[in-house]
Amino acid sequence: MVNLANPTLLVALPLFFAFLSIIIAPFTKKVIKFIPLLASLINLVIVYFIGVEVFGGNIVIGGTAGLTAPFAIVLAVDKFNYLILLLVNLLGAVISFYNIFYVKEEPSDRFHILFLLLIMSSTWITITGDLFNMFVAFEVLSISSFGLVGYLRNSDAIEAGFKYVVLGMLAGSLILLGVVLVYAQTGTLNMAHIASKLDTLSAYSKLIPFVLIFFGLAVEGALFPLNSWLPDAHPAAPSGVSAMLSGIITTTAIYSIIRVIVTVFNYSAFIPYLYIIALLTLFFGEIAAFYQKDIKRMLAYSTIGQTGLFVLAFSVGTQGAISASLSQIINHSISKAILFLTSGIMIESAGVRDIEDLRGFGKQHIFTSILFVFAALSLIGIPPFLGFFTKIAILQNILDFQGILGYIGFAFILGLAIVEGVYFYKVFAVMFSNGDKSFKNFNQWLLVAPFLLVLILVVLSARPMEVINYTYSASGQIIQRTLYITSVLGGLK
Amino acid sequence: MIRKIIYGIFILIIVSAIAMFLRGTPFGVDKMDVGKYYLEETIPQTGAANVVTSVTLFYRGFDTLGEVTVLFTAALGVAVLLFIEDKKRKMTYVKANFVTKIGTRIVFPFILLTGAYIFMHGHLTPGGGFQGGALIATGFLLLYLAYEETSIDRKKFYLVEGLGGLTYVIVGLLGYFMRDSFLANVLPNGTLFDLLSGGIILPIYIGVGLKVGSELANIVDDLFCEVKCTGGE
Repeated sequence: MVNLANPTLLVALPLFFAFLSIIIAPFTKKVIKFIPLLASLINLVIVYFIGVEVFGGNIVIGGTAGLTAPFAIVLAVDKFNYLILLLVNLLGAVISFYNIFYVKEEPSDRFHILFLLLIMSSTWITITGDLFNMFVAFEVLSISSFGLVGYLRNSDAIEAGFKYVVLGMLAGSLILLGVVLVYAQTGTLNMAHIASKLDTLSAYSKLIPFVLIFFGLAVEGALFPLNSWLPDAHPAAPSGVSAMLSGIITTTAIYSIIRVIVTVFNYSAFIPYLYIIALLTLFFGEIAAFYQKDIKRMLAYSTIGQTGLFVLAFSVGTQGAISASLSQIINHSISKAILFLTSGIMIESAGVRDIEDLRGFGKQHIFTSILFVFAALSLIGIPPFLGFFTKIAILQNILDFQGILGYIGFAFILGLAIVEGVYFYKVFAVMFSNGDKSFKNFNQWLLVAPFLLVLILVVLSARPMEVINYTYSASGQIIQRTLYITSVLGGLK
Repeated sequence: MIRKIIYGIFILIIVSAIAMFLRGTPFGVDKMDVGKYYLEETIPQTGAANVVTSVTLFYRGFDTLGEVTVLFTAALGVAVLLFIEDKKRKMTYVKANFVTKIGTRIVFPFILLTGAYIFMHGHLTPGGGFQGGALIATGFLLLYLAYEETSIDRKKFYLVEGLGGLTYVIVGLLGYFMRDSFLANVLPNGTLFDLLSGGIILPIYIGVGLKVGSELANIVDDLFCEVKCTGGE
């Protein structure tokens, strides 16, 4: 009997579909748009089987080449990255469904294949247990998102795409250099094996490789000051892509940073700097979002702010704080995806992206607006939504950070939540005011995807304790790095 | 001006830090125990005479699958960004001279042959699928430069590209179904230095070679497509 709980399938099967679709695309173009949905649904089935194992307390290892850990590449899923894995494939499936109806510009077949590769690569970077493999997945991830950001080929998209290409490729080469230096130090590329060897080395010999890898990943993870590409790239892309980029791609990069800091390098000396970087990211993201007039640009800056928020919570370092950070990741991914999907509908209906031009939209398309409002309320952290519980959890734990910085963080989160509330309120006020503009009708199928996500959000909001309990045990697994190391390496030492 | 000086100092600090770090880093000494394992185990485990190939395609085959995907994604991205709706756009040609035309005619078949040779002997000699494929693509580039009426049949090239990629994934999945490990060696190793040796390396490299060749030829076509792009229809 073939064991379906194997993480390698999560990469292999979508790739199979991608190569298959380039063959059939010239013959029947219409089929291609269903392929990303099909592939991510199949992936969800495998994710379910992996989940059964993971909830049993195991770390699921997928080997390649018939060999064991340090000699061949392994993929490893524990409770911590299982959560990200689930989010990637869930959002991937839902957004692929949205794209079926949303993408009209040609060459749409290439769009869908690139989108499939985007889902595949973000899955890959989440589950890999090998440092060089992470770099490869990062390359696929960035290159597929370059194509998707520039997809509309107007001047905005080309400019944003170009900025993204320059920064993304620079980031890639930094990561590669860092990986090379790690290999020179340890003679191995497997994360767990590196971790077991780096412990014996001096702090200095960890420093430069770590800094290179960190800054490379921080470009994709949109940490201050390396995020200048993001506010251009996310709005310029088609809305389904923006939802994917903002909702989950940034998060997968942050996940990789966490994995590198905690599991591979065990670099606790860096944590205070990470805290300050996150604080600045949060501050500038939210303040910049406040001044935006373009709705998608506002959401993009809000993504930067939210990224800062959950990195801030993570860098406190206690189990409770990491758990709060993970819960905030769930909340942010789902709500931000809904916000981008619904704003995509609004833009399609209004024909423009300015918030002022949406005057009266809420009265004409009440259902779309309600979905938008639900997601925004959860993002701000208004009870009874999930965001409220996650933000409270972050506030409870942030004071565990030593010294004055803990209090500054506390004050920043509270103050910037108000800023966030104000700029979303401005959007609500415009949407629900009286306007004489008439909005075009849109394909009603577009509403299915955000509606499904709102349902998930409501279900999670109804049982916040279960979310936090799960993330608590997940953060327990990331803190216990020896468990990960011994499971991946097996008996070998 | 001050900005440039600050940037310069910044870059200097980074570069000197890395250089100092590299000075203190020993390369290629005994701590490379993974590398030592590869050197000792390659021939019994894979039957490939070229250890480098056995590392890229067998021990770290999953990475190479990723690299194949990087190229695939890049080709798709180029096709997206250079997609042309307006098929009527005209471009003036620079006509190739007589020497280029005749030279291309003579050299082209040899280029294809050498490319095929390189990717089929990846497990025996330096080289492999990527190098052979790139060589094949240069042949098509030469055709485009010499004869302005050149236009490859995109459907067939996509077919080859897709089949090449599928070969890789399917060989990998065979390993998964037969030995419960993706890309496990499911073919016999054969005798060392024979063409038919090296287990799964040969079929994968043939797939990669054809895929890379047709992919890069597609990119060449996209770049020339200012005039005659058919958009894959």
